Amino acid sequence: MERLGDRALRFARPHAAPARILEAVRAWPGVIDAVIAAHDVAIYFAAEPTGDYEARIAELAALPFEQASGREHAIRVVYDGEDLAAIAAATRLAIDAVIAIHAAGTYEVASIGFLPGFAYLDGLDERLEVPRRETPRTRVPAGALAIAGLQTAVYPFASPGGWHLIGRVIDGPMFTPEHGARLAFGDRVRFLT
Amino acid sequence: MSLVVVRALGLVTVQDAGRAGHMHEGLAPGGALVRAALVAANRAVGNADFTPAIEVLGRLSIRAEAAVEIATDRTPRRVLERDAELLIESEPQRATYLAIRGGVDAPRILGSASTHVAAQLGSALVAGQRVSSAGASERVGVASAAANRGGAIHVLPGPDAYAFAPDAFAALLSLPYRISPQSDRVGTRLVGPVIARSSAPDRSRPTVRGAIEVPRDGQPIVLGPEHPTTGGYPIVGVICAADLDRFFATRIGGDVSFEVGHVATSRARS
Repeated sequence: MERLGDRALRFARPHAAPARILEAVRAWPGVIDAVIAAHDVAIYFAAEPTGDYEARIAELAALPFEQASGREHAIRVVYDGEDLAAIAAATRLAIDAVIAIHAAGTYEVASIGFLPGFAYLDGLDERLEVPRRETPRTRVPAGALAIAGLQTAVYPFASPGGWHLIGRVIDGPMFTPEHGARLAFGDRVRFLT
Repeated sequence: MSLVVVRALGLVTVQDAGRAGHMHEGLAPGGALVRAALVAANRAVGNADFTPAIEVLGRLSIRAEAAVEIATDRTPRRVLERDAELLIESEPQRATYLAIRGGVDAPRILGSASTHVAAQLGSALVAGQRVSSAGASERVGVASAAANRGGAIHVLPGPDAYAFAPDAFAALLSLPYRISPQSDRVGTRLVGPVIARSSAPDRSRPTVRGAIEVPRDGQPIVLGPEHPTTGGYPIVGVICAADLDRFFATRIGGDVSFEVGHVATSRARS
C-alpha cells in the first residue's frame, strides 16, 4: 500500500474480478471513489484515511481469480480509420485482413480510465499488436475505434491520443450523463460492421 | 433576476463541489478550481458554501437586466443598476467566482451543476447567454481566490520513486516554479528545475487531484479538477489537500515553491 497524497491510497490490483474489487472497496469506511487501473487500484477519501486498510487490502488480495460476469455488448462500427494502411504495413497484413481479425474478436473490459467511459479492452489478436504512435495526435475524434499493444478501445470524447485509429462507432455515445459509461468492468464486447 | 453575458474570455463555467463517486467510470470529480474562493463568494450572498456559482478563469462582462446588489470580498456593497455592466477579472489571481443569491440556475448532472469540459457535461458560458438565479434574488456576490501569499506549498513524496533519478524530489523542492500559461482545469504546467526521470517506462496508473506528474521533458504538471483518472507519467509528489486551494489560486505567470509536508502516517498504517 502506498500513499497517493493525503487523500488517497494505492495498492497492487488483486486477482479478483474488477467488479468485485470495486464493490468491496467502495464499501470500506471513508472511501468516496476508486480507480481500477491495469496493475493498480486507488481509493479516495474526503479526509485523511485512518483505519486498518492494510488488512482489508490483504483480504481482498487473497480472493481467488474468478471469471468476470458482465454484460455482452455488440457495438456497430465502420472500419475506416486513418491508420488502417499503416497497421496493415506494420503487420504485413492486407487492410481487409486487419479488419476481419479485429471484427472477429471478443474483448473484455480490463480497466476504465483516462477519459470518462474510456474502457481498455483486452483480447486483441496478437497479429494486430503495434506499439502506440511515436507522436500522439493532438485530437482524436469522439467515437474513434483504436488499437495499441494488445488492447483496443473507443475514444468516448474528442481528445489527444496516441492509439492507432481503425474505425468509428456509429450506434451511440460511450458515455452519457444519464447512464454514465456504456461499458463496465467485466463486460464483453464484439464489434459489428 | 437575470444577468446576461456580454463577453466571456478565457474559461467561464458554472462550478460547485463537483461530483464524487464516478472515478471508476473515468470521470474525475471536477468542481471549483479554488474551493475556498467559491465558498467566499457564496457566503457573501448568504448561500450555502458549495452552491453553484460562476468560475471566471479570465474575464467576464455581464449586464444586469434589473438592478442587483453586488457583494464582494474586496469592496463595499453597491448596486448595479439595470443595464449596467459588471466586469469580473480573475487577474491578479487565477480564479474569481461570481455567486448569485439562490444559486446559479444550471442543470444538475450526476448530482452536480459543475461544467466538466472534457466530459462535455455542461458548457462554457458564451456571449448572449442568460444567467439566472435558482431563487428570486437581487443580490450577487463576487469573490476572488485568496492570493497565494508566498508561503511554500506542502507536498508529500509520490509513490513512483522507481521512475525518477534519486534526487528528483529534492529537485522539486530546490527552487520556485513558474505557473505556465499552458494551464487549464485539467492540468497546471510548471516551468522550473528539471526533474530527472529514470529509464523506467511509462505505466498507466491511477491519479489524483494535486498529483505532480513528470513527463519525459522533466517539467511537472499538477493535475487539476478535470484530470484524467489514470495517467502514464510518474508522480513525483502530491500536494497536501490543505494547500490545494493556495496552489490553484496562484496566478498564471506567478511563482510557487514547494516544501515537504507531513501526515500522521502512523494512523493510516495502524
